Amino acid sequence: MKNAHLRMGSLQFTKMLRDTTIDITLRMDRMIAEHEADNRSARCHLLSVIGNDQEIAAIIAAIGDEARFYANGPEVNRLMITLGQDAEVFRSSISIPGRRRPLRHLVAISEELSKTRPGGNPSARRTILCDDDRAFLLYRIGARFGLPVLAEWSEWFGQMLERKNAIERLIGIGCTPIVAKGTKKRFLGWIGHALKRGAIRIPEYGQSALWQVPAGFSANCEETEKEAA
Amino acid sequence: MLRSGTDDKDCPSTSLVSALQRSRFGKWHGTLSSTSTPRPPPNNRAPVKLLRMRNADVTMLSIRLRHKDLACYDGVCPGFRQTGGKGLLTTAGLLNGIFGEGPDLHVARWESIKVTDRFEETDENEVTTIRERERFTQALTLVYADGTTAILDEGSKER
Repeated sequence: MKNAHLRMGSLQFTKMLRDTTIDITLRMDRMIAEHEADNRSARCHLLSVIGNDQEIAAIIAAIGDEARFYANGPEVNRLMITLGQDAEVFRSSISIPGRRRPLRHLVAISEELSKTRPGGNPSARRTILCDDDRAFLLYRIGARFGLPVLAEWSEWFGQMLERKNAIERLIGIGCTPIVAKGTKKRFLGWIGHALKRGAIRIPEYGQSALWQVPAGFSANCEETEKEAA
Repeated sequence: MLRSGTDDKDCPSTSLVSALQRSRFGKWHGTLSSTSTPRPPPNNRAPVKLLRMRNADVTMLSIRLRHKDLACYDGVCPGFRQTGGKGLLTTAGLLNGIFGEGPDLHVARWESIKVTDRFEETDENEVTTIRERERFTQALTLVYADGTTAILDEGSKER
């Protein structure tokens, strides 16, 4: 695994008040962002930062105010990001041996990403995913829209998304995010046509392959560890 | 097999069951009907374990080796009596997977959907009261081997 300063990014928040200036810079281990139409700023869908009590509290308040942040990271140039309205925030503590006080961990997700849970927004036209693995892609879309899908169809589904230009890469730190464009009816239509044409098939006797999908965000780190070993 | 008892009138999935029975998908192995003959559970894919508790009630525990595996189960034990509602099997994903054979070979996927019922009442003073009631219901999405697809929910008819 690479050293933290090589694999992590940073999140900077600056606010000018009448008599003082707030300037906070935090370590950021995960981020998903998407360029806005003007290409100057980006819409952030997920950020995960670590800091002390005061820093995290200030970031939470800024997220509530829909403030803008500056993000930096490996392969990501300085970028102005915002989480937009109705962002959801999750906090926890990380105890570190030898440190008197625990670190605070903050994960914030945009409204759009928060609705990718099953049944969250059944008529959605986009699905943001934190990994570009094809099995993960089909598994998550199937879970979100309630689609009857099998693990064997992952490769075909990935190819269909690329052929129809329905997949787009997003800006990521610590992950390889994508956005898949399509509704439940559209994806169901693809599956129906593919079965009719014989591009995919349903195995007889119910013997379907098991899903091999990344279990969490740490998958990339685990891969790096394996490579290093 | 899902129980079809006297409390079915109150169960939101009853209309879905009757919609299933009306449609061509009513041949869905009879697991939704109390009148059909249950199929014996296949030994090689039974992710559930039935335990008899002291109160003689039957409690079902889902046993999965990995949470990511899609459970595939048909012909649930005919002795299964579940008093908490019929949505348990579907929401647990125990009725997802590959079913049938030959022309009836299909993949099923159940999902829970939150719906809002809206009522408007106008009293003698012409005051309109709007009431909204949220509840969960189930929807079934099917894909057949010949490419036929269907989304069956509460309001669905034969497609």
